[in-house]
Amino acid sequence: MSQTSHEPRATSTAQSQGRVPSDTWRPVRVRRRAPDEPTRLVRAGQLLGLAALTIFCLFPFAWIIATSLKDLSETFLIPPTWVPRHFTLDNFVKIWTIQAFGRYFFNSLIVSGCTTLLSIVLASLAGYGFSRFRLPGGHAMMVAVLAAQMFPGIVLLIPYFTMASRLQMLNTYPVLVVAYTSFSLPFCVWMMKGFFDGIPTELDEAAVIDGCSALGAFTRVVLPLSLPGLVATAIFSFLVAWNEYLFAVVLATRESMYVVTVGIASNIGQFRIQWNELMAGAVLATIPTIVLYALLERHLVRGLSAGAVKG
Amino acid sequence: MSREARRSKTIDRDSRRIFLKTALAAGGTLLSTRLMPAVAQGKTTISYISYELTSAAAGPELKRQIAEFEKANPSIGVEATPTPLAQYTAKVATMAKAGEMPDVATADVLWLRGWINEGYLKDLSPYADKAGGKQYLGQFYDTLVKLASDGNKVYAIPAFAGGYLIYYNTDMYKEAGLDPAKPPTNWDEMLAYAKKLTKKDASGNTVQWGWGIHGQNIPADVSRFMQWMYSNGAEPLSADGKTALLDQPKAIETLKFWSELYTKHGVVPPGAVQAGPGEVRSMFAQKKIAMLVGIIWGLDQVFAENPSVRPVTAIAPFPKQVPNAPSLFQAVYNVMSASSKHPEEAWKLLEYFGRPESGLGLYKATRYGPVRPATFERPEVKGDAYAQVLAKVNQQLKPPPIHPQWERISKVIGDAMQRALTNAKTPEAAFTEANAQVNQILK
Amino acid sequence: MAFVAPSFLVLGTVVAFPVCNTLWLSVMESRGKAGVVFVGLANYTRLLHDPEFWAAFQNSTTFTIGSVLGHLVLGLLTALLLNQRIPFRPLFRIISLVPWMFAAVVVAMTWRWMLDAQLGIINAALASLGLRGPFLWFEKARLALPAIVVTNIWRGFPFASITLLAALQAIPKEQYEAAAVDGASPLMQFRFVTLPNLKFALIIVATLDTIWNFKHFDLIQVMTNGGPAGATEVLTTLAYKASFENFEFGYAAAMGVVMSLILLATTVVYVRRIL
Repeated sequence: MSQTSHEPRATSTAQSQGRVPSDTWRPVRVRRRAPDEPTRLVRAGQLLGLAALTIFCLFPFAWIIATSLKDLSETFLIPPTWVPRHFTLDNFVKIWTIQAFGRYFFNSLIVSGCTTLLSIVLASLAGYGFSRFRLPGGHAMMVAVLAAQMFPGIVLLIPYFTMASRLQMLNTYPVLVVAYTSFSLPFCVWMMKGFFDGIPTELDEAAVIDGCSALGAFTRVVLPLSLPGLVATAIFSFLVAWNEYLFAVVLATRESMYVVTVGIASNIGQFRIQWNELMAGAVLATIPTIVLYALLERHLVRGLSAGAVKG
Repeated sequence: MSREARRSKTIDRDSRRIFLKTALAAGGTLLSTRLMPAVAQGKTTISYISYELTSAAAGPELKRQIAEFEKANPSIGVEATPTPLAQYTAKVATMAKAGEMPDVATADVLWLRGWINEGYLKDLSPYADKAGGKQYLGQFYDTLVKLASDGNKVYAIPAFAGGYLIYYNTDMYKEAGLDPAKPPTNWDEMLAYAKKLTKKDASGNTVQWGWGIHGQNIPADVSRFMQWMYSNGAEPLSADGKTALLDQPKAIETLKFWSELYTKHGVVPPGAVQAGPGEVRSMFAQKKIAMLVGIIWGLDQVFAENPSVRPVTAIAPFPKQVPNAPSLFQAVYNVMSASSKHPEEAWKLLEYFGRPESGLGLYKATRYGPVRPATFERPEVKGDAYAQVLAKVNQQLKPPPIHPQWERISKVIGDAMQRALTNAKTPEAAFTEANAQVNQILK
Repeated sequence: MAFVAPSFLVLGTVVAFPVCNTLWLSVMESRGKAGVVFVGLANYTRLLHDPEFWAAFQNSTTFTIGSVLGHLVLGLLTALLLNQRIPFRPLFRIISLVPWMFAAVVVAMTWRWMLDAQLGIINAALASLGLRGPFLWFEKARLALPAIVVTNIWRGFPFASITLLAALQAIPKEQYEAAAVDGASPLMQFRFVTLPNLKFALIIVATLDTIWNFKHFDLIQVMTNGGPAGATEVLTTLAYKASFENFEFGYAAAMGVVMSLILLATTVVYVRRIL
């Protein structure tokens, strides 16, 4: 967007308000600042904020990337170096060939993908139910959804493992997917309920009058308006599943069922830590999240609710 | 399947598709079991977990040994699962409680007592008897076997072990006017040497320190402190394990001397409280410190980090403040699960790992210390200068205190160590308080 | 009703048996090979008299409050920034998501290393700025807890920012336009349009963040394991030690129950504002 011109703004306002007669109108190439285009001050503030954000978020990431591209002899130099003197891709090769990183990746993708899908579907259904209908027990049920989260994982670990083992479900994808879905559902349900609350019930009623079932009203009318919420839910569930360690390492007793976090943590040994491979694994592990976000980003836009209801 | 599902995230309007998606989500998760690998059929398969399998040095060697074992025993298949160290004990405890513990597992000496008490491990003495009884077990270092025993029952076979010793930098010795062939033999010499080896640069900043202290509250660091105690003739617990002896003069003296290296004499780099074995070794590799206490198999990490330090690194027994002071050691064992469904086959694997050839192979690959004195006499090892120092150190080994609550007691001691290092309490006060706490635990 | 059932089914399956088992275990004491013995409320009374428990409780609370505040403030600022028309917005949104992409173990190892007294880049950077160091982040009890709180803030704020960003997107434009027509300054618009609309999202983020940070385990265990000398010992690391180092499963279960009750009380207080 171009900057405001240096013509005094009063001229154009005055003209457009009709206070200055139009026969004295001079073709002034004045660019009115669009209503939501920022002033220079605001713009400066934005850039400062963006710079601060970028540095804050990225400097550890830069360090991780730098370490993954070094070899061990350079890793602990005092003072430390940001740019590797001997650039090497060995670490990435090592984790892919010596460790079964490919398999771990595959497992992670399946488990996280299924968790995301299941979470979105269940959470949007439940959120809608809480939003639109009066349920027996009402508020207590909503709190009950959260209550599932309140026990610390380490305390639940042994009984969950025992349960999975009795049901012969160890080393299966479903046992992990169900566990992770239970971790992410409480937040997702509440999140979606909040979004649905913001969509007026008149829209549902209009749809029902037009002949939709309750489910139809939900899917055709309400759901599309809450895309940003769905996106946040999707990213959230994916990350919960992708980054979970404790349950992943305990519930998988065979290496073929390991996920990426377990593979990365394998580099922390009793007598030495394989830092370069650790960082290489961490770098690779961020790629699916970035891809997922890039795919979903366009839905994280201003909702279509503006203008949907006119009286 | 999941990639397709993600690509079609644009929400469908048709309600039938919502039902389909729910079904897909649920069904897909169940169907995905089809994608899982099948388990080998036909042989008896035993499961083996170890955090050593994840190590870049030990992992390949262990896998090679397993492959050899499978060739020699065609009816037995071994499913080796490398398991990360983080939460390893939690994982084993969880599996054991559910009756799903793998047939064979690796265990650090510090966990043995607890696992024996909780009933996770199988008594191996019937198998050891069949293999030669006292003669079989007699080939290993006595202390190693004793630590794994409860009366006549034996619960673990040693895999590798080594006494604590000191590393020192011979170049720095020469620069400071010290004789590299004469490392310190008692504490006074150690302090004197450390002071000489601490150098400042022109602007008064210290650029080299004499000694590296391990001050984290982790078992490895507390063990290194225990080495100091043993070298002073001090004990943390009484022989019957019923009283704490941390308030004894020799114990307090140890804490005082050790922490004053940091707080008073300034021969230790800043940040001792967060220095674990890896950090201290790195500082040695980067030539920031001249000496440290460690185990022989840390040498390879040091050399990998900085190949130029290899020719100037020497090792020596830990200085003895009292005559004939023993060395503490780190040891790792292989154990069999009490709920193992294939004990005979599991024993065969344990026996295989316990062979002299296996121990030798492990030493050559990783420098993990041999568990039998005889190995040091073998030609491959006899010429290795480092190994010969270890052989000498191993002649006087003393185990860490054998007590089921040792992990907890070790945490209390670690707290006291950190308090002394940070000057939060005087050494006397820190150990007196710790003594009271330990006595509480021992009740 | 049918809408809600599937979720409760999933939650119930996973949580029901473990929670019942934990409750049962909390009134038992484990005796190693001999099994468990009923001891009534002994574990709970022991907890109340245990100074370690109270110290850990205090640390947990400090850690949680610090983290949640940090997440909310940073998250809100970031969301507001990323809601505006800035160049390369999608890129900056991904950048703001980066800290959240790593597993807790990775974050803990990385920050522990960066904050290392000798080998860390943070001290190196501070030294090059002329600040007299080295700063012993994990040695001084006063610095250790803030160090892990800052690490946790870094790791978790994208959650708040992306949720609040989604919530910001749902605020109808007309409300801002109406406020502008009424003569409201940007600050007043923020106070009277943005904040009220964000109330639900803020409360839900705060509630869940409180729950997660209170029961967070991986990061603290890997970074400090409760040190130095218990300065960063929190309830979860204490429960872990009770279970897997001391094999006192009943005591750990009691700790878990107490933690849940605390969280339940806190949640009810928060959530009443939006129900």
